[in-house]
Amino acid sequence: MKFAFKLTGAIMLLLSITLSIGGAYTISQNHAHALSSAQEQNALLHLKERYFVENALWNAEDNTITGAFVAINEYATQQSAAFGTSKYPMTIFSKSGTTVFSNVPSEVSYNAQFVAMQAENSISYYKAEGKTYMLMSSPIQHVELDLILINAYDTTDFFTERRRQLWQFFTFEVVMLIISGTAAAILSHLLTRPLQKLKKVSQQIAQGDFEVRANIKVSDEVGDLGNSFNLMAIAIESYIKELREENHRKSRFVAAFTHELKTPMTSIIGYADLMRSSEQSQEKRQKSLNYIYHEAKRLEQLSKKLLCLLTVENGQIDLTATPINAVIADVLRSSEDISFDIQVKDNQIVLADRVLLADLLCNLAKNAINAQPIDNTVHISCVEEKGKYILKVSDNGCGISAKEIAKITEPFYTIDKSRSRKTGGTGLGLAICTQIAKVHGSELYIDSTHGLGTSVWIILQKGEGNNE
Amino acid sequence: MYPVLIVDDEQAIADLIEMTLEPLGYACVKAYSGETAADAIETQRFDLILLDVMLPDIDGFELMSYIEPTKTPVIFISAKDAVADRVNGLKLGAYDYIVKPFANEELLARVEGVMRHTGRRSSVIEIGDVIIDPMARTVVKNSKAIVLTPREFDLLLVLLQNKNIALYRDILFERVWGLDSEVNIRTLDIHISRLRKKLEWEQVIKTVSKIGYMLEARK
Repeated sequence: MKFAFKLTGAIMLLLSITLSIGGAYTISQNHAHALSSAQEQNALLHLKERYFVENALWNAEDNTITGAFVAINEYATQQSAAFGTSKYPMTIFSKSGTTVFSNVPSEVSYNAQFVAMQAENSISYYKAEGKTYMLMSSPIQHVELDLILINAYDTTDFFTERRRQLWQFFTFEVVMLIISGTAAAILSHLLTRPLQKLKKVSQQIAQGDFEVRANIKVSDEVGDLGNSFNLMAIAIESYIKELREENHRKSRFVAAFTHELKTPMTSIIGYADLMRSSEQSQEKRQKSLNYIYHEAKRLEQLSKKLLCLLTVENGQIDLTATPINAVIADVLRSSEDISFDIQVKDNQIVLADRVLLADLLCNLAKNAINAQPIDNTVHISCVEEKGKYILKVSDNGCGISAKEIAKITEPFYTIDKSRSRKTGGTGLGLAICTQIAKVHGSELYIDSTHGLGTSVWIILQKGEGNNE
Repeated sequence: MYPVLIVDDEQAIADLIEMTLEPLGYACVKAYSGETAADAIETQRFDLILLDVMLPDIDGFELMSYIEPTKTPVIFISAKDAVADRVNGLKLGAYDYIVKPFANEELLARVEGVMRHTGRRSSVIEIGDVIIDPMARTVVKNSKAIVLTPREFDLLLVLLQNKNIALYRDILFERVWGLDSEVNIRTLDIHISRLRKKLEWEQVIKTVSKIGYMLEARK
């Protein structure tokens, strides 16, 4: 809500400043113009009055102050009779400051008039008791006496009017501000409402609900923000899912690993403890030592395979152009007791790590022969398809049921634990093969029918020098 | 007195348990799968079942529903250490839960404990005219109470647990005083002679030359 407040506040501030400045300026300009027109008018009136006074003085009996006083009095009486009393009040000063005649209202102080007289041909304003007077002064000419005429024109109305206008504008401004303030507030609220939605959604995501999305339907910058936000939420959700799965996988691995470790350890510790505690018969001692030896060997196998798995997972493997023939030759050398059927061409060169690829094939071959195929043979083939090579190991042994296929590449998982134990299996073979396949840029593909046989293959890139 | 049924798919471990229990008079029957175990339970009666929960064919926990009607006490043996698994096992009605790898003597102690608690074996041990109650930690000879120090009683228990088995001297010491003890091993000899005197067992607690000591009690 703060942003909406800021917006509304800013708009209102701007409005009030501009309105105030504009209004005040306009009104004061009006006032100044009016006053200046009045001034012009009054100047003419003042001039006229002076002429009349001068006229009256000419026709005076003599050139003395008294004579002037009489003449002016007469003139003033005439004026009053014609126009009403004090319509254009005037004061006539002698240069020394004596008031010869005055019918200026009493609120206009002597001092003000004196000052006006001293500044000849001047215009000044005097305020008293709620009225404002424009004082004009000029010396009376063409007479022998030094006399100055001052007129005081009531200009109160101008100032009253100005005040009235200001008040009226102020009221108008207040009403305007209220209306526009309300409108601005509503508008701000509407504009920031999508932002509120976004805030709520991000709070939910922070709480751990990664599936919510922002539902912003406007199609402006805020709408764009909403869309980008949703894209971000999608990315976060899938990333978190991945991380969680990875975490679960790791937990499962550790659990399986510790289990695989504990069982041989129990045997080794148990038998050793038996033997060290008390005398055993020769037969029992032999049995115990046998178990200790075999379980320790089992641990050795486990650690070897585990090391292999970790090395492949974390190591930097360079793939080079490798002829398939060379790899097959390595495999045959390491698996002398297995009979193979090899369907591989001479000139097939793949991008691979020779040692790892041979390991993979040996592993798969061992699994194949342990499945007890009918023809007691492991079939290896390398066929080109869509610019790549499919390297396959297959057998017609006991096969794997569909629900087991998903699990067999999990570390330490074995379908028949006792049989694996007899053949020295650790349950890591296929996990290692999956990693080796990954290093070569492929998945480990398994196809099997329970009772009929199994095929396992990977897809390899062609290496340079290949001329097939 | 009925035999103990050992259910574990690892032959090494089943044999180990048998080799630990048999010398102490517990006859053993071994089963390497849930199925063979179920068969055995149906056809024979047992005083105790030692059950591995990670069996290839049937979950050890599932087997409990088979065993429950027979009211045979069960001790779970498992590599699963998690509290959740232990609690689950105990909730399912197992008497106890022991985690692999286990020390043989711990297994033995738990087996004996269950046997005594469930009345499969008498809760007291009788050797001649001496009656020992491991739970109350009392020794009575000819109806007269014999006062033993806690250490002497511990030593007596270890000797009884390995009845008729010649124990190596340092092993015996380790079992009573613990692995990290800084006490001189000669204290073992002193305790042995005190026990012999208090119980008048000069002929029962025998010195086995080049090995250690043995509590001999042929029935």
